[in-house]
Amino acid sequence: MFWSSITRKTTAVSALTGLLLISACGNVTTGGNGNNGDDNGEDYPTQAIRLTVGQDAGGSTDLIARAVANGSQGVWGVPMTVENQPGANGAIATQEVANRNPDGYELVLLNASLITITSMVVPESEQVTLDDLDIIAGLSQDDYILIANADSELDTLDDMLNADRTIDFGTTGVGTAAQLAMLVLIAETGIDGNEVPFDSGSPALTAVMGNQVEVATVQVGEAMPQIEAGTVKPILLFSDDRIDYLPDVPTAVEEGYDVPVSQYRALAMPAGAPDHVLETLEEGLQEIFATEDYQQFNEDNFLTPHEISGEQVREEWTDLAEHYAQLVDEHGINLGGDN
Amino acid sequence: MSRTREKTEDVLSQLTDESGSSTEQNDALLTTADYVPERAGTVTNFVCGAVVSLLGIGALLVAWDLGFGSLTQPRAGTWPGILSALLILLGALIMLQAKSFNDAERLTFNAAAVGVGAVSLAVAVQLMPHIGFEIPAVLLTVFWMSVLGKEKYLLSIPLSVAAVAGFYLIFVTGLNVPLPRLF
Amino acid sequence: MDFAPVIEGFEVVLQPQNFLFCIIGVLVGMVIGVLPGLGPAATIAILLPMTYGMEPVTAIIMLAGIFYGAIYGGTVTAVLLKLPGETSSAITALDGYPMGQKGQAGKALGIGAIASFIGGTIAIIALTFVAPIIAGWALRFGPPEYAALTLLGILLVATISNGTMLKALVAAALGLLFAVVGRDAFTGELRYTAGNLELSDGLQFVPIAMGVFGLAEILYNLEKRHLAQPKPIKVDKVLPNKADLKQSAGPIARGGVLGFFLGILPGGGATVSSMVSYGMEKRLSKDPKRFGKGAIEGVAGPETANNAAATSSFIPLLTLGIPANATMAVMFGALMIQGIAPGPQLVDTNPELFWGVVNSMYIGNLILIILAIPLIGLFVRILYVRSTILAPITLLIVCMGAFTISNRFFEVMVVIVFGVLGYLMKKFGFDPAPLVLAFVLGSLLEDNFRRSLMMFQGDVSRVSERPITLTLLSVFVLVLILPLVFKIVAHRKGADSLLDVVAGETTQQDSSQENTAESRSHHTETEEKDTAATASGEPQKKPPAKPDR
Repeated sequence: MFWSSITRKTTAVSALTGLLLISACGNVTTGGNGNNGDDNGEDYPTQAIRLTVGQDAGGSTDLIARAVANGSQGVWGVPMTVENQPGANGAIATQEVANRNPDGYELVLLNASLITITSMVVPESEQVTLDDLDIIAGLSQDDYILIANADSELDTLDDMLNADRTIDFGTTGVGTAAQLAMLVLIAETGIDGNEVPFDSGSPALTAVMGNQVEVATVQVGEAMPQIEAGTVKPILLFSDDRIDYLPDVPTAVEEGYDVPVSQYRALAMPAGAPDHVLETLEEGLQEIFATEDYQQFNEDNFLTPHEISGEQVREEWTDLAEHYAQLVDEHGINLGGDN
Repeated sequence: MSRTREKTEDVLSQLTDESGSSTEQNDALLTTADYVPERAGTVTNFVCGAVVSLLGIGALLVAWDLGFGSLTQPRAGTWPGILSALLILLGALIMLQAKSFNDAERLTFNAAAVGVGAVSLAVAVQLMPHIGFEIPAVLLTVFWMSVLGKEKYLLSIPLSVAAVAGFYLIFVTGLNVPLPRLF
Repeated sequence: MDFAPVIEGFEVVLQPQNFLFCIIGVLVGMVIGVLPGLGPAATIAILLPMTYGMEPVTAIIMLAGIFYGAIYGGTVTAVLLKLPGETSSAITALDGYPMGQKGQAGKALGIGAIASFIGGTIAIIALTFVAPIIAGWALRFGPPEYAALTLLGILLVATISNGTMLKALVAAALGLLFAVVGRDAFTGELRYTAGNLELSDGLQFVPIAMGVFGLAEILYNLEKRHLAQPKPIKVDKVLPNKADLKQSAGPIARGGVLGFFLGILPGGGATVSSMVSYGMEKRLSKDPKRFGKGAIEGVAGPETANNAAATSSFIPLLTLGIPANATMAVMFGALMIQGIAPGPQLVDTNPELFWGVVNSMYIGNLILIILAIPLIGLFVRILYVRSTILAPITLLIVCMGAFTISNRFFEVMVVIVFGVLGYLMKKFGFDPAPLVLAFVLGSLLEDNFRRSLMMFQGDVSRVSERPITLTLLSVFVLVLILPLVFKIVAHRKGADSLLDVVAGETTQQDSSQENTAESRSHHTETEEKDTAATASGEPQKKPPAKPDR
């Protein structure tokens, strides 16, 4: 009796999933101690590449990983599987991948905030550095925008400066870029603000829509559908320059405040990869960037391409980390955390 | 199924060999009265209360370290502080009323099997990242079926291998779950 | 309203390939959702790549199908193995599992399928007609409202247990404390993580529930391994009969309405819905003692609420562009992959998508019940398996299911730790259910309470500006006070204190609850003994235990 039930179930599952997943898993991922080691020489890649993402499925980081992975088959001739290993803003996943074999089959998608901001709020043992990683290339820039409730009398930054009352503002969680941008802006402008922290961008955005708080800083991609529908108003961008998607919205920098905060993402692998592997990945990635699908994806998600080399990523992120640390220090901002 | 029978079996099996037929025979000889010793007494309940209170004290120390704050200006330790205090209080009440409970069971030698089971599971899971999940999984199921469960090896070994193979097909081949694996 | 797009939506769904993928989605969702640990969110995330090449409408229809199937799959394991795959099926396990142990697994799964169908249908009909109107309601729920709602939920958790009140409270307090673990959302400080990076995001629900319910049950039965229990449970393949349906009608109707409204709330409404339904049914029941020991209402109400909530949680996603929970977040991602940003304008810019999804729910729901009922007979066969064989295999499923949560063995270790804790609690008379449920509500309560205080800038009196909060708080007070008043009046004579009243009243039930667990104990006999016992014939002829003891 046991047999009949188990075998029937197994057959059903494997037949169905096998049938359906044929395209998704033409080749299986390899485990931690799997058969990764026997790649000897110039043949790369010969098997599926695993791309680890330190964030939950469905979020913007995950979507970017999936967009890159989508191009893998066409460029390298092997599938790339996206594996979500959420935890500690990607710290766990990044550290784990950094300790894997640098054979080119283990990649990780990095969030700049993990290096530039999270490091300010977590104890030293949790800090992730770029030292153990080879960065393949930068991918894109995800910008932050200050929004206000549609019925709010606040339309511009000047309105906020002249409001002459306490403004409730939402933040998106300890150690996020959006929180940093918001707090630095409040500190630099001297606006009388009352911080209400939320867990992430989506609840903060919801709170603005429902006028639970008056303003908040969230990702452009998240806010865009609401801006288009008129449920929230865009006030200020935190990017260096204005962005194509919202050409009329001024940036904090042009308003005279030194708050250049964006989220950057890059593709990396454990340090010590053979040159030909790194080259293959770099070249292939450029090909993916050039595909129409990938460009369309960036556009759909309001991402600005920032396709720079691994070296440039390392420089930029190191500079940003210093800059942020300086800003936080200068304004005596408490991002939270044990430090 | 009668409650009586099972519980008497429990008592009996501590005395006799683990033979199904013998318990069947002795079934009629025992009454519910024999079941009573299995319930834990005041001491066990008192210890339960003490453990709860101690947990509360431990948690309270951590909360204190985080800062109690106040109800209108809460800090990281406010809420855990409240919960810790509640645990201490509840533990104390259980200690005071230890006599009135009859819902705890006596910890007997039989519980050793639970310890062995839990440890074997933990060991198998610890091994999986290092040598792949297949071998620890097969060993674990064989151990549970035949050592803890007295199934014949002739049955447990093929069954375990088949089950692990089935799960391999479902999780690894079908769902692409990145379980560490040998094959 | 204009019904042309609604009709067109049906045309979209009934296109052969969309219809086919809807069926495939439900089936795959159900089969994969049966694996514990793979709740709806995880199942959708795993199957997401399948939809890459599809048309957006087809993709989302299939994902909605997977979603429905996976939710029901969670019910199956909750009833059969006490392994809930998500918060709502944890409630189903409370009475569904005892029903299964009494040989009524077919009944429990049957009523679960029917309740899911009705709950889903109620919510879809409501969604069709009032989605845009009602969506705004969700936005009026801010932190103070959630704090009050959660408070109400915690109160209901306390009533859910059948054990002694003192011990139930200990379990609840522990659950709340476990919810504290991890990084504080306000100060960023790490709390109770003992320096473990893996704990910095806190503990997760599924491993805790799998440990405290499922694994604890296995370990508990291991203790009885020496018992020569000669027969597996007699499994009744009988589906719910007329009397059962009649008994469930009220809970189903109430659960459907309740679930629909709570499901709209993005900040955890769906989570609370099945708990509220269970607590409500237990309060309304003439004989609340049956709850926790296999009361069919305890399955019917929460299952309806759960599915209604699951359906109505699409409302904030589709009309406001807000993902209401983890599952909806994955759905959101799936839409984004298709190049569609769900937002307030979705219904105008992509009406065929909006109505295609909504109407696929009608179809998906119908397919679910058509597929589920015949499969029940297959599912309940699991219980025929001797537990010496079933338990180790369940262990494997637990290990792998827990691993898939975040692709780490850490979660498997969490399951083991909580399994041992659950065993000890069961052993010493602490009902573990309040722990699991309080855990769910713990962070919601603390975070929203602190968030409210920050909104009010420490001035609690500003709660008077919030009518919804005030209403919820008055309900809370009523639910809290009334039964206490009744109890004191009723038990005035002979009781020393209120706690004695509660303790005295519940211990009796508790021992019979133990019995349910024991009836499930391991059959360690070898095959010969099995045959011998079967030959004696006695156990097979015994009727399954009566629902009421």
